[in-house]
Amino acid sequence: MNGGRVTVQDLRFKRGGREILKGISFQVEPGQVAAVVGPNGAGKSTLLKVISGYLRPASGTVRVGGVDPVSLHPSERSRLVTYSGDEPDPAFAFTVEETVEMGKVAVEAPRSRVALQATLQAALEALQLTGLRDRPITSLSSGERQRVYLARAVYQDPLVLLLDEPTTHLDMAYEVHVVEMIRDLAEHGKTVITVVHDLNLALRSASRLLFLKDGRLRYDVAPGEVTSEVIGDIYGVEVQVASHPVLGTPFVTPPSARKA
Amino acid sequence: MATHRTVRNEKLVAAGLLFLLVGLALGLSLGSVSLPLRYVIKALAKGPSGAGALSADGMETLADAIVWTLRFPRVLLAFIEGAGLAVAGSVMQGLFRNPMADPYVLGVSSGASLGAVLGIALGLGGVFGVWSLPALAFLGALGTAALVYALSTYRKRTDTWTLLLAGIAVSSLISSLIAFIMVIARERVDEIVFWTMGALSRASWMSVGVSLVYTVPGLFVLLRHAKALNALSFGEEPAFHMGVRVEPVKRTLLWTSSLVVAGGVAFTGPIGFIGLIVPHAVRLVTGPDHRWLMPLSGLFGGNALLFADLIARVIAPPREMPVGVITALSGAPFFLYLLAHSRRRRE
Repeated sequence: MNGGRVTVQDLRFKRGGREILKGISFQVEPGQVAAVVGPNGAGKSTLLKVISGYLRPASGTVRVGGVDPVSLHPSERSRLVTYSGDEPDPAFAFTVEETVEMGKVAVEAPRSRVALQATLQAALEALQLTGLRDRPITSLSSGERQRVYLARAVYQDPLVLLLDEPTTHLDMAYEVHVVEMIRDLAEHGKTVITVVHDLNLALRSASRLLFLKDGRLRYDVAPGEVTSEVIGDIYGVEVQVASHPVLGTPFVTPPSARKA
Repeated sequence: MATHRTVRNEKLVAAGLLFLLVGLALGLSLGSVSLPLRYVIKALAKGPSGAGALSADGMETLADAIVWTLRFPRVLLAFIEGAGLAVAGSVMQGLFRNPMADPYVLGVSSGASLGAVLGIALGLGGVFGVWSLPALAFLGALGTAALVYALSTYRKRTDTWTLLLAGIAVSSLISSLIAFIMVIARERVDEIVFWTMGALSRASWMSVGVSLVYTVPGLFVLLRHAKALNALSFGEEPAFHMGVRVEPVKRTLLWTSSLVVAGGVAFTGPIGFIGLIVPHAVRLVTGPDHRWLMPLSGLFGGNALLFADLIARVIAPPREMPVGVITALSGAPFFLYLLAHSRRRRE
């Protein structure tokens, strides 16, 4: 049993004749948090959606827990891997609790009502939503809604979580909280792959950074291996990488000037 | 699930059943000839075989005949079709994530009209006997749905926006075809107009039987997909990640709704607003969970058409209004009220 190991090999993806992913290979183990970083349009979200089985690769292989997610029955797939990202505005006023409950919509026979209630409660607590449980999601702010969708993914409880910009709409306190929750999920054996824009957030939260540019994986490094050369190569900006005075993790200072 | 909602929903079921009972009683006794309720009950007690028999009381003989051959099939058809329209409406609204969607999104109503209008204009009344118009309307309805579906499906994926737009375009194309036919076949305009306004006066035990055959299994299939529809109302991609079999479920829902609606519309002509307003109104009370929304829409949709038909029968005696006129006349203002009301509540 290799749990939720994610293996991607020579992955290519095309949309409208244009190649978005150009031969990507890497592997992420259970217990790891990998952050996919890189400039806009590098193919980060597309990569997560191909791993989730939603988009089909033009060539190459994706294995999640040793199997191709596309080959699985959707309900089986939903217990192995899920993707959580930006969603269209809700059309109807489901409550927060009803929305989170939909994480188990594909599971036919629930284990037991009591156990399910306990996991639901845990998911609501993990995202600090217990006070909002009866509120219609149409009345929530984008940050609150983002936490609801994250809670739904947590309640779905797959081995692999693909989180596309999980903290974009969150304030600093919730951002810290969600980062801790992601680490906690990994410590409990989940495989987590995130797409993150804030490099310092990625450096603080991930055990590995996958730098994507123009559909290619340029660097696959641990946070400690991130240098100003790597960032200059990827983003074309000059930065300084220092050690965080308190955490000891690498810390990127804002770019001072555009590279010539 | 919040318990207070469940309790409220159970009360709604009770209220709906009560309405149904009152509607049935009124539907059997009111009309161009009013029958006192005790005659109706007597007729029902005798069973259908009593309809032909003569009795000493002339009123009783008349009541037996009216109840069993005219009004009973009529109230049943009203309830079945109203229920089918409202459930199909709730499905389409969930699927299209749009409270403006109605069961005719795939052009079922205009297709049915075209079939029937062609039948009337070409004088095909006798080809399949009494079944000619319903059969043609049914073929027209499903043919149109198939066309709209094919236009918006590419590599086994159906794009919902294309579907919505194709439905509108095909429907308006068909409407102009109907107008064209009406000008050519001027001597039959009255018949055509009456058919396209929707009426339950053509109800018979046969039509009740046939529409039951479509509606009951259809509604069963639709209700089984309530949970998937909940997920789909968040969008197709989120539903995919929750583990819903998006394309097969969508196909099943679209085709089953169209079949259920076509089965009713073929006999009565298109009846508007029930499929749009009833799910909308029920959703305001019960919330958007399709496990409650769909069955309650069915119950209240059936009741709505039952009462609309009652009004159609008694509002302008001795004439009978087409029920489609009543549903539009009462439905449109009610819908506008709901719009204004829900907007005020949000702001």
